[in-house]
Amino acid sequence: MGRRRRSLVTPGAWVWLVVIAGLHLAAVATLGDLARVMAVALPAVTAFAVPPALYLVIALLLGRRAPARALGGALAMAAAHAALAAAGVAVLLGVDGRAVTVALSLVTTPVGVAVQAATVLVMLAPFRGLLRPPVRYPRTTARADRPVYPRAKAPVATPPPEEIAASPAITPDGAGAPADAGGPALAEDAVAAVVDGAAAAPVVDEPTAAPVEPPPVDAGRRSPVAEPVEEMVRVPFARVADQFPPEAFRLPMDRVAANLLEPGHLLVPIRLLLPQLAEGVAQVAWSVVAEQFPGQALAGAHAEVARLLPAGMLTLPIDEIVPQLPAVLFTPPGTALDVRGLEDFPPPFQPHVPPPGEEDEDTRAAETEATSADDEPDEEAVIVVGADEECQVETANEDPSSPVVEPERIGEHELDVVAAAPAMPAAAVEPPAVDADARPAPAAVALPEALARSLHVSRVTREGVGMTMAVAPALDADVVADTALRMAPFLADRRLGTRAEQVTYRNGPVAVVVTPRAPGALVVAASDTAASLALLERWALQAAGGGAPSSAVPSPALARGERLRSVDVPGAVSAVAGTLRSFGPVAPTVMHDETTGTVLYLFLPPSSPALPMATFARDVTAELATGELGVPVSVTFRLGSRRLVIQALESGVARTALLVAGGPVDRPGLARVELERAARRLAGV
Amino acid sequence: VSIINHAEKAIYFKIVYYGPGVAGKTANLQYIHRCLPHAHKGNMVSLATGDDRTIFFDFLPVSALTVRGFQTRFQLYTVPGQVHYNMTRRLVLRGVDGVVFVADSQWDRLRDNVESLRNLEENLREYQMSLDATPYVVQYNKRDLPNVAPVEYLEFMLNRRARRVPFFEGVATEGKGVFDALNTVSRMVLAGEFGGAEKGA
Repeated sequence: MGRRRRSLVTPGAWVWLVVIAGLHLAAVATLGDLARVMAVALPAVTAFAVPPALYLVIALLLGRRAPARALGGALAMAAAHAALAAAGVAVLLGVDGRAVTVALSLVTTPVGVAVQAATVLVMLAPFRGLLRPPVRYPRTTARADRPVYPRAKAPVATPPPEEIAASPAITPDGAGAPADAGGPALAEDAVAAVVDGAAAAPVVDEPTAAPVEPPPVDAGRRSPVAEPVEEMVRVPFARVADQFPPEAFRLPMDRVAANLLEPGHLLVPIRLLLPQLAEGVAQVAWSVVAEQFPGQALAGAHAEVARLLPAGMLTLPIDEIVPQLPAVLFTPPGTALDVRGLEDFPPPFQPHVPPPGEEDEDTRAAETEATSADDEPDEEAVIVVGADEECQVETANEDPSSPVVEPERIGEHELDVVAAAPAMPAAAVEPPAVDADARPAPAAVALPEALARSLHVSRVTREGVGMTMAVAPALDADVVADTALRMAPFLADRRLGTRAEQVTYRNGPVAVVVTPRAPGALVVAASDTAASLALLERWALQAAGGGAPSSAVPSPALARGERLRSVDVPGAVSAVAGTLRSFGPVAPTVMHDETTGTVLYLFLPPSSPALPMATFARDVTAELATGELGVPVSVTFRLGSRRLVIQALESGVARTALLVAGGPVDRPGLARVELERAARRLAGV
Repeated sequence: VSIINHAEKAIYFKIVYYGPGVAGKTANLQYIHRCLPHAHKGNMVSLATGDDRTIFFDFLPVSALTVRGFQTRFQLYTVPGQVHYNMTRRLVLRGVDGVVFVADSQWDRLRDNVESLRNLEENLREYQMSLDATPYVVQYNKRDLPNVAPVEYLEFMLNRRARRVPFFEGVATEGKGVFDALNTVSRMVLAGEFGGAEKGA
């Protein structure tokens, strides 16, 4: 309940009013003559015009954010003044027995007017809250330390309709629409019940004091919030804090959290989340929660903070939201499929006994044909089963108008799938100007047709290194060559333990793949679309003759000083190690570079020493950071079946942390997903 | 669309394991491959793409019971889950008879599940097919992980059509729910093909 309503109904305020009025009248009766002695009476017009003007000024000062309320307040004070004057005259007439003119002259003396004005101000002081806009100090009874949160009901700022409309990730084209547009969107009745109940729910909680530690920011600067009361879910601020760049706040995140309207939590109206539940995502616009932040904590205006967020939206952890919602919301709308007829068929498949764990590994390996990277299919391929009853794979474009051959069904024991070589009638490589390598190259360097259209092939010699280059036109070939030369020494770096077959630099959509072909010779491929990276890597390996490890250029002394020291491994980092399963067993190590302040999180096989890899990762990143393509998002070294991935972690505006993971990887896609997750988790450490 | 080979007295069905990347589609096939008797399975073929891509597709031919004198043979496929392999997914769906939608139960993959299901519907439409007319089941995989969404919520998101299809909780790496899903969708396919009660060895 707001302060305004409490002041109106509090008996004390009215008692105060009556007491002060009584005292005033008693004073008039007792000291009336004194006023006459001290000054002459003012002209009636002046005596009755000055007080309202005074009240208007005072009311406007106190209620400057609500002019209408101020005007009303001034009128109320003027009315009180008139009432006091009339009462004073009545007292003088009735009690004191004076004449009307004498009584009027007494209440219109300067002293009399001043006393009446002061009396009015003191008398109405408890009602001054009426002059301000309605200020609310909502708190739910649930506190952060409670283990179970009921759904909170609290008044919050209701965003303008256009902001509400923008907040859910629902779009008419189905990008955010429920999966089944034809089915019921939600359990409508349940939704309506929740929303209606929310709208009618009263607020029962009193304001609570701001937290003592850390000291609160001036809560008075927090913009007032408005009705209506809504049913809310509480989202721990810590779960969304990493979406705010540090420059968004003047205070540390922990203090921002402590000074939220609901300390430690953001309150989000359920009605904004309901339409998104079927999408498995929950997003709200910054404006929905902006008023819950103390004004002094924000580094800029709300609009600036919104600009710092992706699309101005906060992504909320849905695992915090769903448990707070009533289960009835998730009642599937349809009816179960009638599967009674299925019992007519026995289960077609029965697992083999004994269980698979006892099956011979070698037998299984022989039965599972997994193609190696060297004969993988292209990224987009058409499966063509010909009359010879073999599956083949040939390159195709994404264009659906491309001719596609209908696959035919074939006998199970005759089935086989062959990864065909990429189409070879591609861009011919120009004869090398300086053939520094001993291997014949041109036939192996032919580009697949899909790449030939998008890459420009050339051959250059820089610093004594011959480079066969396939570079996207949008990229500067000189910059790509420079990047390749920066990476090349690391391919044969002793700290790797073995020579790398290939290294891939990535920064956004830009990728540069460097593959040694022979001493002093490299195959360099660069793309500005990440989608073609796999094809590019494969082509580069083929063009380099299988990516046989060889010393591309002499390995220089790269040590930049061993100013790395191990630090304790936080529990959160140890937990991340357990998630990188595609790298095999890895041990976490955290190292700090005292020179640059960079923190390195290493996840390497237990038998691999961390320090050399840490210095290696640091040196690779530092070397590439000075190039024109900039600090890499990731650098991946292919070492036979092993991979070493150096991934920069986003830490605010500067990348000050590296994730280094290495080990045998047989599912690189899974490894990539695990690394991305690990990077997100480590960014919050 | 089943294929009947009268000479061999065999009928072929195509089952596609569909779902977002790293949801466990390959794990399903690997487990099936490991567990089926040698006489009932062919070679499993996995095609991988480049360094940072996962499976192109997996293929496993298996034979099952005899119905009306025809040996039923199922060709099990997976699709690559990554978003930019849509043409491959579309091609693998060509001629599909049944679908096992493998969903990742983890909270942070929910959106991927929804998008993958929507992508499945779109790709089926390319062949004038729809999920309403295609036998399919849903497998909520990775139920052994700690950060999984409740099945009720997964059902709300992924099984919300007018007719809800059978669903299974799964841990594909351990085999939980793998054969339940496969047998159910296979029987749905057989029921659609043969219409009911006839069955064989």
